Amino acid sequence: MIKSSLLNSSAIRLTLSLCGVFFLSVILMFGIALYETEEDLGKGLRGSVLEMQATLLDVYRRQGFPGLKEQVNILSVGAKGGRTLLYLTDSTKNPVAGNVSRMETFVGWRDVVASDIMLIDPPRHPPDAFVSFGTEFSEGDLIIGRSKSEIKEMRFGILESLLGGFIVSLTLTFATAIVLARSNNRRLFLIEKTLARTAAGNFSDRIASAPGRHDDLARVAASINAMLDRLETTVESLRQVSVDIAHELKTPVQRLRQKLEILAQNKSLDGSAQESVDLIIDETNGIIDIFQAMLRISQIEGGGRKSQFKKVDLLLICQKIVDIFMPVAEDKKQLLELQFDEDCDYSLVGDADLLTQMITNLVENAIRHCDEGIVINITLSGRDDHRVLEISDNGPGIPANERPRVMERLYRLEKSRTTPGSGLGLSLVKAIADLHEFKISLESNEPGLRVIVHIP
Amino acid sequence: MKILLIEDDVETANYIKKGLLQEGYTVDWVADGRDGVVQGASENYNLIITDRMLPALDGLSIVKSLRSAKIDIPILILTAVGGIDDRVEGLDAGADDYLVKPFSFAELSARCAALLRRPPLQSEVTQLVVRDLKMDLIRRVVTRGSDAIILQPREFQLLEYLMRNASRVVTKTMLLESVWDFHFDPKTNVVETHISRLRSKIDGPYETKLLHTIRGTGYVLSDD
Repeated sequence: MIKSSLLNSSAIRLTLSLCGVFFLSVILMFGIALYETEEDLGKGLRGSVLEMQATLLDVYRRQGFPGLKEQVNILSVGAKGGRTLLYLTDSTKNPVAGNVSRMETFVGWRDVVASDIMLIDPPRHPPDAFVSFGTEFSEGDLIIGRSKSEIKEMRFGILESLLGGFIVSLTLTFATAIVLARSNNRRLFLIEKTLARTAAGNFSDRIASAPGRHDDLARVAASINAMLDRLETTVESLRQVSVDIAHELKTPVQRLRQKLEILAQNKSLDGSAQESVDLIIDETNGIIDIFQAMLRISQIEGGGRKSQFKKVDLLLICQKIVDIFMPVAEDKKQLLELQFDEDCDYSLVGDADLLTQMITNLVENAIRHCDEGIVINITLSGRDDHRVLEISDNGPGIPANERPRVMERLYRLEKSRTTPGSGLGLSLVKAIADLHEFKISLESNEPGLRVIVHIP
Repeated sequence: MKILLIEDDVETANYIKKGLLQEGYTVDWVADGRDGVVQGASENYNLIITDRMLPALDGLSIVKSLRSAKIDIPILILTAVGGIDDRVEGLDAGADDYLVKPFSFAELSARCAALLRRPPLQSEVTQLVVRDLKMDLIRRVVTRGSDAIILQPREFQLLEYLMRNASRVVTKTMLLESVWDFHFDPKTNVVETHISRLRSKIDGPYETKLLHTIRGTGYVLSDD
């Protein structure tokens, strides 16, 4: 995971771009330096050619052509190293002295390529070219040249060291880039992980701070932590608000109910008044139920119940529920069935009361919202590393666009608004599922509703 | 029967006290937890009802103190905090029953009656009888008159509970908790459905009806 995201890492891209720019500028600099140096060396060579030429010119002036010829011969002997080119011709362009057997004559500067001439007694590694100067006399022509090997050697030398340095640099930079990128990645990954957990609903996660680091990433992490603190407090107080409201309202409603009970026992009420009082008491009970349910959901979400988890057998719970609700379903001419995969074990650690309530809610929803003749199925099965509980019916189902919202508190389906029920049933189911770390999803049973609960 | 009520909310206390007096109990009321412990330990009560949230000393501590003072009479805790953990905590502390506010008085009354019944010495009772309805607990057989009545296991459990509490009103909540171990209120009429099935088996073919529905309260299995 770290490997593949290395390519995606901003740190790596940054480092590599910087490296690229750095290397390019180094190459540029070297190129310029190389050019300048070659120029300088070239000038130096020309200088030395001119020097030689001046000397020979001097000899010519003083001793005439024969003197020049003799001098060239003497110099040719010493020019065995192949660094110097000497060529003297007579007026018919025939060579009379020098270390070249034959070559073309010219006047002025020319770079003479070694493959165009034939050196007498060439050294083992003859140079490629000579910086040469040609002079014309009335008796003949003189060409003096110096080898460009020096320049070539220098160029190679610089390129060699450049390449060597380049490779070392590159390796070093790359290694450093990877190390830095990984360290950066790790820290970014921590931040990512915490943010993902928060998005999933866990508001208590914080980014661990690396000791001794005070750079921009550390500051971002600290800011995020502060923001998460705030978020957690806000969410808590929101949760607390609805709990507080329910609590506050419970007492007055309790008193209301007490007074209604007293009223109900009043013998002077006639039949219809008595009925009305009973209905009012029913409604009041309904209100109290809603509060109780809201408070319960809130407590379950608070997670405190988790410490009391024990080993429970889901199969036993389902069997009990089917046993108890089968008569209720039968009264409505519905069929309630339990099927389970026998090879699987359905025990887990949890709260038997809450799990019973969760499954009961789902079964009751099916019974209440489906008409006569509907079949309600409870299926327990095992799949790979987890178990699956499915409660499905072939009744009216829930429209696809409403399915995601159905487990929100107090959400009622458009068409169910007139039926009794508070809309909290599925919220409670979701809260209990979340507490046990089950994954719950709603699908269409085509027709009907299928509730799928994944149990790890 | 003498009942001690430990409750700091005046209105609730009056409500409960009045109801219990009407039912023929003698009621002593204290509003402070510490007074409650002292009084509960020193005088002879048949039942103690205490609120959970009290100033000075909370209900759980009251229960624990009384229990460690070897006061073994039944204790019922009332609470406005409907915590799911709280019920277990209350029972763990030594209470016998736990009722969440708001509750109807009928519920309270029925539970008090159930707590006050003298528990039969377990080894003695092998048979429960209400008029001509007999339940043999050893052989798990129910007869009425000379007819054998075939009951499903859950129906048997339900009838057993009703017979053990014969002539006392049992509320739906009590049935849900004791017979089915449901600690919540189902939305469908489970209890009524099972009761009516049971009724059709044990009362249906007979002239004298034993299983009665008390409107607004619950059910009672009795001879009159």
